[in-house]
Amino acid sequence: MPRRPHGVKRCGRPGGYNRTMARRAGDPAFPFRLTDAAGRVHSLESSRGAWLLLVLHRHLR
Amino acid sequence: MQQAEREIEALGIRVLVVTFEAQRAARAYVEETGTRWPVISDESRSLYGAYGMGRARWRHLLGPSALVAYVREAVRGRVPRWPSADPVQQGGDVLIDPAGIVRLVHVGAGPGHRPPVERLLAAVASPSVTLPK
Repeated sequence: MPRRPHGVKRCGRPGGYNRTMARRAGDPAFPFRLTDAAGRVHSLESSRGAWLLLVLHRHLR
Repeated sequence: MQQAEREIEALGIRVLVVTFEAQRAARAYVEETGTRWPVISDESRSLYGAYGMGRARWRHLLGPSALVAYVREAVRGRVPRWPSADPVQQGGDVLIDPAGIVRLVHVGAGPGHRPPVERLLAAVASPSVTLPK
């Protein structure tokens, strides 16, 4: 297994992310296409032209 | 945040609530809270990962600030329950401008660690404003 560079943390779960790759202010938004509780599909593209606030929850209950 | 719903909508901000839980849990959440904002399921946690939301530290989940957040919720009539899903997944807020550029990312260390709504609104009014770490 290759060694991680110093200062690079990896998330504990499989498929975890690399913190140094996380998007920050000024970066292009991460594209997504996801379905809501009512079955409607939402994507980054469908929100173009308006401000979009993503409220990412911890567990719901 | 839902208390500031009018201000948020007045500024033309579209809100999407994201959960890593399944759609069934999302539907139950909508019924329970009556939120008008769409609740989308990101079971692969790709959005969480893309914006640097990983594993919270236990000291942030059980420390004094978390306790204050739980008490505040209880005062509002929402008695905290032991989570039925991953308790250490971090959450946060991401503000994206009309051109698709990220203007603000806030990773919540634990419960109650959210940016004040005023800061989010200020970021829309003045896109160069960012949250202090």
